[in-house]
Amino acid sequence: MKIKWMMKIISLLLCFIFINIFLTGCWSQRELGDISMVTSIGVDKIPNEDAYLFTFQIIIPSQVSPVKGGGGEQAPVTIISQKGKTLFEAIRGASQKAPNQLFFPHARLFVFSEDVAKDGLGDFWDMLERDHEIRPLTTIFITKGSKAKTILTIMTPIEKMPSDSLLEESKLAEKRLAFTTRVDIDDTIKAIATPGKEPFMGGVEMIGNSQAAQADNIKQAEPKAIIKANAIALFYGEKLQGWLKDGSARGLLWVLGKVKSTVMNVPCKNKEDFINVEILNSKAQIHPQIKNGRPKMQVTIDTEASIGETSCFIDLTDSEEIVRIQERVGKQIKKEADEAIHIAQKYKSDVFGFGTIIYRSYPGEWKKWESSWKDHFKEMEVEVKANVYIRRSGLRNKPLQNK
Amino acid sequence: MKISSRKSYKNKKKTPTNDSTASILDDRQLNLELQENLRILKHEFGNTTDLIIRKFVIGSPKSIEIAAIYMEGLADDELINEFITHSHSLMVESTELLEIENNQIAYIQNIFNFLKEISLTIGKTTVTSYWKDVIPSLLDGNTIVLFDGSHDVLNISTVGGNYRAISEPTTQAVVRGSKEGFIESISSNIVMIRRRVKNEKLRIEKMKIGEVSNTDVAIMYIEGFVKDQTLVEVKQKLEKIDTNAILESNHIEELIQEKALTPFPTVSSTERPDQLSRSLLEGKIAIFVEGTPFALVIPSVFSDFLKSSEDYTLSYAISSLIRILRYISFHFSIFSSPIYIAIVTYHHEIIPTNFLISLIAQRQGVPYPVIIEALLLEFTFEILREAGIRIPRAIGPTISIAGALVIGEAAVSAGLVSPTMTIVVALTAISNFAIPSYSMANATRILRFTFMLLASFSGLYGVTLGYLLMIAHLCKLRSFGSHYLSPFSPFYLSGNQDAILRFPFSLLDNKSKENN
Repeated sequence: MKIKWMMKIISLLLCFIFINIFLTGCWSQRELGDISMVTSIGVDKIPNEDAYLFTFQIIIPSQVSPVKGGGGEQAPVTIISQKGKTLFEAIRGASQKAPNQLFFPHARLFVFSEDVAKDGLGDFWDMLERDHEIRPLTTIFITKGSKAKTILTIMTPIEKMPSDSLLEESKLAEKRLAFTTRVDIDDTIKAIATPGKEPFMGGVEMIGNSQAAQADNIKQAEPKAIIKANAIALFYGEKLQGWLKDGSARGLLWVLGKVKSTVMNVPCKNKEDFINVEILNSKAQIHPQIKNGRPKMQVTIDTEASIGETSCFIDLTDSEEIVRIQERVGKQIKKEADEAIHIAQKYKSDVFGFGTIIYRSYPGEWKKWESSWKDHFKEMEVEVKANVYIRRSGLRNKPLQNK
Repeated sequence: MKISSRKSYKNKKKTPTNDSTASILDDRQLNLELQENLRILKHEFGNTTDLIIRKFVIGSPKSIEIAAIYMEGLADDELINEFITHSHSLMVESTELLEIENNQIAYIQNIFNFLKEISLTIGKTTVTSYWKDVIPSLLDGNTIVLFDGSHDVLNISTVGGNYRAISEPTTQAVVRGSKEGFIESISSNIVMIRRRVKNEKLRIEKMKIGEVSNTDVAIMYIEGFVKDQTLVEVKQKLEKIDTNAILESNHIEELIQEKALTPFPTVSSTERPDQLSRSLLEGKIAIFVEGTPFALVIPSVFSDFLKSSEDYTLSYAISSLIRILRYISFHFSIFSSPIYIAIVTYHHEIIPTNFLISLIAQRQGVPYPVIIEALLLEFTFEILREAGIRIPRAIGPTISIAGALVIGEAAVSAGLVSPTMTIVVALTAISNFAIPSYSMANATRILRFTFMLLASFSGLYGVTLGYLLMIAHLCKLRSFGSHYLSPFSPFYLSGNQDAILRFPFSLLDNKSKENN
């Protein structure tokens, strides 16, 4: 009898527990129509004020998606700018200007303007890491020569979403030309947290006339303004120090072994014409040494290449010729790497991670040098050796023209 | 709040109340007088016109009145005519009996024996003198021969009548394989099995279940393969059935199966003799019910419901792949809609950006949240499905195509539902039909709605919890002693040869021989 009564109580309790499932209601439900997808965030400095100008680039789905063809002249994105001391404040402030709640998980890029970067990005790392909606793989760019807001207002002709366009550009540039690189929040925070390494970031610049480029940017064949992923920004800690452009940017990537493919011109014997060489892959090895109580690095870069184009006559069946070309390419690589190191040393920004390597190989010495590493880095001797192996020469051995 | 204890609502028996009912069930013997017996019989049957009573006289000069009684349509007329013809030959030879004419009882006994010899040429004959044997026997289609002046009657087996011809099974069709399906007559069905399993160890036990209907039910199993325990359990459960009538095999299925509260079926039914023979060889028990072409198979575990006889008629490679497809479509049938609801309502981060953009674009005009849209579409589809069963064949396809197209297109254009939702519902519906067993497909229909509700309240978290709960429930479920998820859950390797993948026959042959 008692057991029957207990069973009733237990079943009643179980019923109540199961009903709980439905008491939550639609707790964190967000309707698709109530969210505004933010794809890029830009940060500018407001002169004479202790606040930043945040710009959010929001996608308008009906213009982008092929399904419900928007028709009409509306641009595929819209931007909302908001002042604020912190990102959070700006997001909430933007709710005054946006009919929908801003939705960040699909944000691909952060664009910081140069001024903000020079002042220091330290304020932002906390927010970027702490917030659960911002992904750690979001790419960061530093603008070179323009404001972040301007970059975000430019429409792109090929990709409907400008953020996608910029992202793909930088990925492609890193892979095919190596004049810039793509760095995300995760990499940066790792670089900051690792002793003996400084962060660096990809740069973006605007070519053209931004005033003239509004929505009709994409209406004609030649857009009035384009966004270009170019250059690498060097940091010391949280402050922007300087830029690596073109060849020197590639130099940084040579040393880090991140060059996947690129092209280089080497002069012919007659100094007028050029041979164009395509780099197929590259590897870099860094050996630390201690010489006279000071750190020294030996960088060996190994690459494979193939002949892309020549405008002078070379006989590629001649192995001597190949060796000569290899040497010339090697010299060029070495020059670029030296340039990169030189510039980095000038800014005392150890983006190569030499400090980390010393830390791993000579921890005792590292303890001595840690606190003043930037000076040691500046004085450091770095020897670069580049080995090039030309594997292929395309479909011809001897070019058409005769010398 | 008071909790009332659950009353057990058993099948309330309604036996026809009749004073002389008692006379059939108790051990009353037949009367000596023919007229009296006939009167009692007619009274019992209420003077029904299909009870045929044929009276004739045999013997000379002293003739004995004899009546042959049978039910029209249940008994084979020709056999009875033959019997009566043969028995009239006694008239010619009646001179032999003149000698013992004086001894009446012996005379009748002689005639009786003579007719019994004749009846042995017609069919199986037994002699009885109790009403409780006579009436059920008449209803089975046998002939009762009554003798004036004798208690004893001849009970001749003359079962006949018309049945549906053996035709293709309607529900479990295969491309290549036998096109025979069971019909409503137990004896035909048993013969179909006997032709396939020509072994003397194939046992059949018949019984009658149902107070009023006295439906024939037969159990079939192969001795040595079947587990004794299961057999005993099945027989016990069948004997305990206390109901008015068994009209379909589902009635027995429900009364026999486990008392657990589950949407999953624990007894499978089949219309195909080849599938049934295969199950018998695996040690299962088959139950035939007169009047239903579907035989029950006990015990049935989860993997049995996702098998089809098609698997054995095609090569092992393709049938293994198709089986995997079935398992996947089982999951699709339950989880497509719920996962879509969960992701679109709570987890927008998971969706790839481009797809999310088109989803937002699609849902621009839709007035209500995803769950309502989903429930609406699923509900409409269930209505369509139910209606489709009753649509006359002539206009069926037209209406279904027009209906699907029109409803789908129109609803999307009107902005009532989004195109993606239509795709998801269509996928769910189609994968539901990929499940071979109809009872399992129905289980998924029930579960789908539960999961949709869960998804709408707790997103993927809820769906995962629900899935875990479902698996835990399946692990605990048993079908007549066998674990429901065997051979996966109590894992034994030999069982897995034919569960998801179908190993080639060369590796399958040494399966359970005498197991117990």
